[in-house]
Amino acid sequence: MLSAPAIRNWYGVHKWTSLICTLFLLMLCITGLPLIFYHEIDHATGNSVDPPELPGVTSTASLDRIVEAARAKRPDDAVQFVSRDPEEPNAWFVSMGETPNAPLASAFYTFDARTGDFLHEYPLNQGVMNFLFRLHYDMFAGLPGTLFLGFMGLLLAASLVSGAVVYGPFMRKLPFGSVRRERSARIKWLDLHNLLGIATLIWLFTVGLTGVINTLALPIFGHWQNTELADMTAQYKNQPPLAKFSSPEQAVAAALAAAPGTELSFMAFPGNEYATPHHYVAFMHGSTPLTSRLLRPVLIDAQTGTVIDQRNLPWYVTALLVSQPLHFGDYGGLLLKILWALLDVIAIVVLGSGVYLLVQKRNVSVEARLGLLQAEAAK
Amino acid sequence: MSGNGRVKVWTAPIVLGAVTALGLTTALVSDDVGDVLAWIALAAPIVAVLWYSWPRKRV
Repeated sequence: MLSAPAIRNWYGVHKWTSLICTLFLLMLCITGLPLIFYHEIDHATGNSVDPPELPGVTSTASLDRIVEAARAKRPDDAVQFVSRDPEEPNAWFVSMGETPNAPLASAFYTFDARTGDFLHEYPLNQGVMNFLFRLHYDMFAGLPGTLFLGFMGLLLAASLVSGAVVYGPFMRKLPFGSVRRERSARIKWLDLHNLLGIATLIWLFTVGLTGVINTLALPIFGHWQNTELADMTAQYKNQPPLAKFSSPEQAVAAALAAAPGTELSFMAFPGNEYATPHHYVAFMHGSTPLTSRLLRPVLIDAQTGTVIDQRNLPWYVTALLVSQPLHFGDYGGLLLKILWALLDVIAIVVLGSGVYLLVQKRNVSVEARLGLLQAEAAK
Repeated sequence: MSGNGRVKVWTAPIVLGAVTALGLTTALVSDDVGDVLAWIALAAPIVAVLWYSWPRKRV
């Protein structure tokens, strides 16, 4: 059993970590609520479109022609990635940038994978959802903003651990789920804070910590690029840049042949930071629920079009890839997303009641101090 | 707190936590059965919260 000073210390940790991170976490929970349904909202508002039904059409469009069509739309830009979505098997997506390695995309096109027809251009960097996403992702402050939010997530983890530690002594004389409504509002909200917090503790912890891991995405991929990718392509380091690239369609075909049983997730074009100046890198995924989340990079020489190497991603990139669905809740259909949203609403109540309890407490102590002063004045 | 008291305080939270962890995992490793198990398991903490926090007459 914890001693009284130990309980006081753990309570101090809970109070102070919460005090620092709660407002940011409220922002994250509120902006995160609609973001759970980003995909559905994009389709409902027409930001994304499904390829049309084409009964009887079994043709496969040439990726080379699709890439040419994308280049023709923005002749001054470079193709950065081509990608696929297992849930939209009839679509090819092409991401453009002002340069091959520009950090921001300049255009995101959808093409029909059967006919090669241009279908849609996604409206980048605009709209309410994009605004909410940027608040949630980096508060419009770039990598420092993202890392700052990651630090808030670590404080949340400390707050959850210390909150769970003091839950025991607080609930010693109460059955689980007690909500004492007949006494003060403060007692009622303390009981609700304890009940909602402890019931959703593991979910809060999971979404919090996977969120922290997601804030490290750029450094994690950067480390992979500087170590493994650089190591795989060391022999090309001093070669002059390529004037012309081999066919992207052949590159994808070579990657599929080299990694049997996989599908293309996305392929980075030469010059992009997920590739090298001399290579395409095709990121392949498996077909089981778990391996569909994992990626296997295949390097293709962009001069000869042949596969030169493939490796599994190191554990730290795998940890990032597995933590993404656990943060987004997008891996069990619409019903899982709805449960995610309900749990998020509970999290908002836990945070809100925590703020209320801190503010109320201060009022109580101020009143107590006033009472003391009056008593002294009356002497 | 006696050993018994500690068991009483922590039984429900540990059960809810284990069920939540199970639900978070099953949808990740299996698509059909795993998704359904995840829906049931992740509904558990929500149902517990609603059940206990709903205002009702004391008996």
